[in-house]
Amino acid sequence: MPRFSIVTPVYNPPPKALKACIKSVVKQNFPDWEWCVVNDCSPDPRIRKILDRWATKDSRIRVMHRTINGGIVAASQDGLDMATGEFVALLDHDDKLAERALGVINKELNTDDEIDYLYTDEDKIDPKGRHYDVFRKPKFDPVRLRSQNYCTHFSVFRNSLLDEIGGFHSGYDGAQDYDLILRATEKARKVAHVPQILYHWRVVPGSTAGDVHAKPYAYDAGQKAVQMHFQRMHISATVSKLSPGSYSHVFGTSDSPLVSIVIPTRGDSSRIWGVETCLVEGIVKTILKTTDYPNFEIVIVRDVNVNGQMVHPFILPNDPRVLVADFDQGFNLAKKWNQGVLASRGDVVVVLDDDTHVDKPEWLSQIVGQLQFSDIGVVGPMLLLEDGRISSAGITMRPKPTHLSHGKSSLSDGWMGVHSVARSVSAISGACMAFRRTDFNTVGGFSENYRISYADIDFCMKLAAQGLRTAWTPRSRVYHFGARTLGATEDASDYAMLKSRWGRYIGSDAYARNNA
Amino acid sequence: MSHAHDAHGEIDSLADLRDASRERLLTEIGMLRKETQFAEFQTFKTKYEQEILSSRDAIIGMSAEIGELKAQHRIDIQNARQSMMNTPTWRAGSQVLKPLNLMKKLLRKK
Repeated sequence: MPRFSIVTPVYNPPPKALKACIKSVVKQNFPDWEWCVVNDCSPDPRIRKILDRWATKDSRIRVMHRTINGGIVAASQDGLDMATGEFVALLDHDDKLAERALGVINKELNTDDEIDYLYTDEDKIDPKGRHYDVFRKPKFDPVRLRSQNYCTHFSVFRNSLLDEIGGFHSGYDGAQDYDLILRATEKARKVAHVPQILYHWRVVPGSTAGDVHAKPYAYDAGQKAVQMHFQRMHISATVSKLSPGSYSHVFGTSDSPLVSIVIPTRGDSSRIWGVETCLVEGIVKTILKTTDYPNFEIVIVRDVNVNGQMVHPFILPNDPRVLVADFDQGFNLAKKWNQGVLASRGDVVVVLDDDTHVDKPEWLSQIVGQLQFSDIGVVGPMLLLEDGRISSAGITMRPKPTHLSHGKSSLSDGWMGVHSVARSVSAISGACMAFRRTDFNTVGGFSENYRISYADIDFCMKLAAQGLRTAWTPRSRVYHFGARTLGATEDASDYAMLKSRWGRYIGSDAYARNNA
Repeated sequence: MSHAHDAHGEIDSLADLRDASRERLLTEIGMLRKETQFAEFQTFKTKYEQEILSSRDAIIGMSAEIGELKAQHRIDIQNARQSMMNTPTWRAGSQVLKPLNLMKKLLRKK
C-alpha cells in the first residue's frame, strides 16, 4: 500500500500544462506514491497519448479512460475508487506540485498519527510561468471555512476518512472539493496545516484561479455545500452568496437564550457626529430601538460615590429590560465588567463600551449566533471608527497586540476576503465581546490584575488555554468612538502583566500570517 | 359612633384602626428587615462570587506564568548552547574531532 494516492480528474487541459503537472509529480523527492489519473473523455486526442506514454514510463502512474464524460465529480470519484494509498491528495490537471511537497507532508504526518486532513499554502502561476499571489493561510480555522474554501490546494485526506464520509457527493460540481473538505473536517480527529508553499495553481483562461466569475455554477454549488454543513451541525442559518468564492451566513433567532448586555459607564458625555451626547443614554436608547434579538437585558454598571449617588448623573429609559448595578470602587475596568456580569442573569453575556453605537438590527443576533458552535468561546463584531473605517477586525499578537485592519475601508473585502468573512483571531477588543456565562465562570472572569487595558486579550488567551477559539464576524458591526484615542489608555504595568502571562504567544500569529 | 375608613374598607371603631395600623406597621418593619437581609445576602454572594473568580483567575494566571517561564527557559538554554558552539574552543574541538566523527558514521552505516 503506497503512502500517498494522488487523484487527478483530467478534462482537456492545455497539453503543455498537463505535461508540467505530470513532471512535477514524477520529480517528487518522496517516492512512495501512486497517481490515479482519470481521463474524463477529453476531446483532444493528445491528452490520451500524453497520459498513456507517461503510464508506460512510470508504473506508479495509473490511468483510467472514461468512455463517457461524467463531469468532475464522477471523474474524481473514479479516481478515489482507484486509490489504494493510506492518504489521498487532490491535484488539478493543470497545476504543479513543489518538488518537496510529498516529502514535507509525509514528515508532518509522521509527527501525529491522528492527523486525518492536512492542507498547505499555495501560490499562483501566470501563463508565462511566473509565481504570484502567495497565500499564506492561517492555521485550521473552521469559522473561516464556513464562509470560504481557503484550504483548497493542496489537500491531503486519510483514505479511511474518505471511505467513512462516502467520498465525493454528486450535485456539487465545481465545489466538490469544498463539500468534501467541510464533511472531512467535521469528522477529522485532527487537522494540520503545513505553512509552506507546496502547490502552484495555474491561471489559464477559463480557470477559477484567474477569474472567480469563470464558473458561476461552482459558486451555487459552494453555497449548497455550506448550507448542508449548517444542517449537519443542526444550526439554523441562511447562507447567501457574498462575492465569488465567499459566502455569508445569517443566524436565525429562534431558541434565543437570554443575553445580558453589560455596559460599564461613568456617565460621560462626548461629541458624537457633531452632537453633544451622554454616551450611556445614547447607546441604551439605540439598543432598545434597533436590536432585533428577542430576548435580552441591559445591565448598566454605574460609578457611585460612598453615599450611593451617581458621580455623573444620567437618565435611563423606563424599561424593565434595563437594570442597574452600582460600582463604588476605584477605576478598574475588569472589576467593573465582572461586577456587571455577576449582576446579570443571561446565559450569554455581551460586554459593551458606552462609547459605542449600533445601527443594524442584527448586530446582537449575529455575534450571539456564533456561540452555537461549542468550540467558540468569545465572539466580537467589526468595530468601526466614527467615519465608518475599520477600527478593529480582531486583534493580532504580531509583532505586539494590535488591532487588525485599523483605519482600512470597511467597504472593501480585504486581502483574500478577510474583511468580509467571519474567522478566528487571536483576540478581540473588550469594546464589544460576547461569551457564555459558564465559560466566564470557568476561567475566573476578567483578570482584575489589569487596571486599564489588556484584560480583554487576557480573557481570550485564558479561553484559548481551555481549547476555545475567539471568533470575529463582519456580519455584526458596532461603531466605537473611543477608538479615536487608540493607544492613549495603554498602561505599561498592564502590558508587563500580559507579557508575564502570555509572552510566548506575543510576536507571532497563526491566524493572521499576512497581517491582513 | 364615628366611622373611620382605610384602604381596606370600613372600620367600626378607632380601636380597630389602631390595631390594624400597628399590625401593618409590624408587617412593614418585618418586610423591611427581610429586604435588608436580602440585600446583605446579595452583597455577600457577589463578594464571594468575586473571590471565586479571582481565585480561578489567579490559578489560570499562575499556570500561564509557569508556561511562560518554561518557554523562556527553553530559549535561554538554546541561546546558551548556541553561544557555546560559537566559541573558538568549541569550533577548534569540532575540527579536531571531525575525522573521528566521520569514522563513527561510516562504521555505523556498515
